[in-house]
Amino acid sequence: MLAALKDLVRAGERKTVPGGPLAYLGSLVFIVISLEAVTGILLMVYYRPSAAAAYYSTEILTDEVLLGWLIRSLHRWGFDLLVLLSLLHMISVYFSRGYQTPHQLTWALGICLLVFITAMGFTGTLLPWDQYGYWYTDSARRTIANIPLGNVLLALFWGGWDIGEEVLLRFYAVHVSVMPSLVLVLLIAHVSMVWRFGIKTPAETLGKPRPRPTPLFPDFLVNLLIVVLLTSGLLLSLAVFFPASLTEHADPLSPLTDPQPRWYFLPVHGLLRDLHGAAASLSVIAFFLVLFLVPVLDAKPTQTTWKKLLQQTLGCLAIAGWVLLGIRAYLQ
Amino acid sequence: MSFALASFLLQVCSDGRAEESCGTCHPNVRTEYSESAHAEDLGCTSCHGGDPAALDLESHSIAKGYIGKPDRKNIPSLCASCHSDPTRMRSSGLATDQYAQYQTSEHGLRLAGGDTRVAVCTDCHGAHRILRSRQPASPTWRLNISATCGRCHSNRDLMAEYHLPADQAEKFRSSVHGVALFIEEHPSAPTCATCHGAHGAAAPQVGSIRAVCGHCHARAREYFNEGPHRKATDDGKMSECVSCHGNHDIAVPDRALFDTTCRTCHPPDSTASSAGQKLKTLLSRADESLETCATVMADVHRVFPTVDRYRPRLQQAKAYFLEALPVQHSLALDRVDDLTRNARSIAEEVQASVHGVAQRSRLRRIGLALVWIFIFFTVGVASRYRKGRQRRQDPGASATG
Amino acid sequence: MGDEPTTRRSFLSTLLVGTLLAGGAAIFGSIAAYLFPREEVSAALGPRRTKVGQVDEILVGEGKLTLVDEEPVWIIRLSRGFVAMSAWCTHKGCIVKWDERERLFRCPCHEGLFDERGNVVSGLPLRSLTRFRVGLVRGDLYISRADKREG
Repeated sequence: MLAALKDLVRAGERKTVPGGPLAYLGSLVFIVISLEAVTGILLMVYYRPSAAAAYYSTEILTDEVLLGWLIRSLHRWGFDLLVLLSLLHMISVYFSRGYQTPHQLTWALGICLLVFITAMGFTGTLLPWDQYGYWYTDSARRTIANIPLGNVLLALFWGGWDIGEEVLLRFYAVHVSVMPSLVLVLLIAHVSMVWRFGIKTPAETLGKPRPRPTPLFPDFLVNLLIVVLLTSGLLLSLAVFFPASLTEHADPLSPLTDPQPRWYFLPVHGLLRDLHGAAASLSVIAFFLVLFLVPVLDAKPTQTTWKKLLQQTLGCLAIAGWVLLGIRAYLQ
Repeated sequence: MSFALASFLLQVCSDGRAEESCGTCHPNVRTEYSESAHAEDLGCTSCHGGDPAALDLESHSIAKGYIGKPDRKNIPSLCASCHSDPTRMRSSGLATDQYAQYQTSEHGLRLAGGDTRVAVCTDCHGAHRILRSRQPASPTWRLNISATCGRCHSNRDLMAEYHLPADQAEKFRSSVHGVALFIEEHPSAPTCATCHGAHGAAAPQVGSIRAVCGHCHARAREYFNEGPHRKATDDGKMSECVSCHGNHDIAVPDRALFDTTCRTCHPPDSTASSAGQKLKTLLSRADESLETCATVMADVHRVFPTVDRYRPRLQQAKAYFLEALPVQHSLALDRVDDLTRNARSIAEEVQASVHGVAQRSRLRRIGLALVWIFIFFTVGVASRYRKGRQRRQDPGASATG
Repeated sequence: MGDEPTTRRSFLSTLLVGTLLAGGAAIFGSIAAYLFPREEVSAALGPRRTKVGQVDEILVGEGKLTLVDEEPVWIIRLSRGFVAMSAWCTHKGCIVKWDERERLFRCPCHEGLFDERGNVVSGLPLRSLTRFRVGLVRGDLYISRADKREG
């Protein structure tokens, strides 16, 4: 038994991870996903997914259960952090052109992960069955109804054209079973790709000499530990000072006019508001398609200046565009 | 004369209604009458007499008992010719004592004395279109009674001749009973008739006021009778309920009454007045205690919603306070003190529990501080460990690897 | 030259492992505390019953006042069985009293009267007393809420 453990340790010492701080970003995303999974499972012990009990069980969870407020707040803030880290991870890989051969599949899996993670956040918002969750989901419903085949989508995945208990149950099933399974599979695939093909460091792209690779065990892990500890500290502080709250119980007869979406949805929300109907949703879908195709368009590592410049410029423009959209949507 | 008329009419009444010709010349009255409660069994001739078959002025035949429009002074007995007869009225389910009551009322007594300006049956119930009191269009429907009485009693000139005020209906409308009746439409709210009687209408005399208010406010009456004001009322020095609360313009009782009404009899520095002030203080303190507790609970509820579980206990405190309200009429300081003290102590207990819940945020911050200490400690240890590793890997390089 | 760094290194690594184990224990402890069943939680979570007493304790025509979740509740034994209802008068919330002789609930505040089923007989209350469910389980009387929020 001990011998097996020692073998494992030695394997870890041999395995190397490319150096550089940005390598920790991906691992941190992985850890935060695990945190979300653990807190999510703990929440399932007390949360009840029915229109009658959802709100009250969330109330009890927040107030009566020991440390229930902590688990719930960590779940809420963890998700915000997850989205932020995923975006930073994606941006850093983009700018270091880490999607090039042989990492194309890794990139595609990553984009899929991002979409699914966002879907998880969206389905999770409805679960407390409070005013904000209910009406925010309702405004999303109206948006989806506008896109082509939107009504078919609503019928299949939504469980109806109105928001009632059937929608809650489907969202719950998606949020705790369907999406986590998909995310898990994709995550395993993504991490396996990384272990198999390694990752490309920014230094490499810039033509600088590679920094010495770090052994997985114990150096990389110790560094990761420090990062994780500090991130946990941040999350816990957010949980204590800004605990997850609840608006009033969902009331289908008292609408909230234009509930403001979470910060990561603000750009899309703003876009959908300005370009009415199909044009808006199609443009968002088009953007994601382009993201998928980036490794295809820029597959081989080349030193061509114009291609590199184009890629970097487009990246900056895209980021600036989304950020501006977001700010504009927030101010309205 | 009226007896003869009555007996004649009894004969006519028992004949039942044949098809009458009166409506040919009096179509508007006929339409009005068709809605009446009398329209089923009685015809025009039942009250007015005459020949129902004749189509010309023979219908107004005096030989056939035509009396035309009855004299006002005869109207009560005319109506009573049926309405006081139990045999006749049995199938209708109505009482038969209205005429007897009327004769004891102010209206009946004055009518007997020759004053025909007082109310007779038709003034309140109508003449042709007599609706049942349970029909909302009826002048005797409970929401309409105030207006019906007000037709005379709010007429300043008419009332001046009797040396009566004419503002009772107006006062009543803005009073707590008026609000209960007209705005809340509470089914038990009193109308003029509730206190004054309907047919036996009279101003409740000094001796009978408790009988009137106490019909509904039985508790207050019970406690009043146990207190020193009972003797004062019996001796004629005050008018029981009316002295402090008024009669028509009764407002929602406010503790300010202790400051104003006590003074009408008791000098400000007397034992009575100070007892009144003590009562006021006891009640005020309990009320404030309950208010504060409710406010604090609402505030904390926003962050910790399950302070709701303390609401039943606060309700218990409120119940003690509410029980003290009728008890105060006995002016027994010890009993009021007992009840209000219970209310206050329970309210304070609830407030303390709610505060305890709110203290949790402070505990959380302390916990967070401890966690941060742990984090810094561990990060420190890990960095040291890291530096040690780097130094070992690069023994020739500088210490800060 | 080799000894000191080695001892320090193993001390540091032991310390690190120790600290991590302590942290891990704290996390597991928190999760355990979270999962540990609490009275308030099970009370809030589900319909539950409150034991009132034994069936022989209350005679026909008599009543007993108990607390169910801090709410005062009357349980009355009638010839046809047990009934339970809230003791809060539906007018202003004073606690009603059961009058055995007249078989009525009487509110001490404004003389509201309710019959043995909790319906308003006279006075200012407009709604009947809230009913509770009574259960007889092996000789013991239990009360639970009739129509509290589901779940």
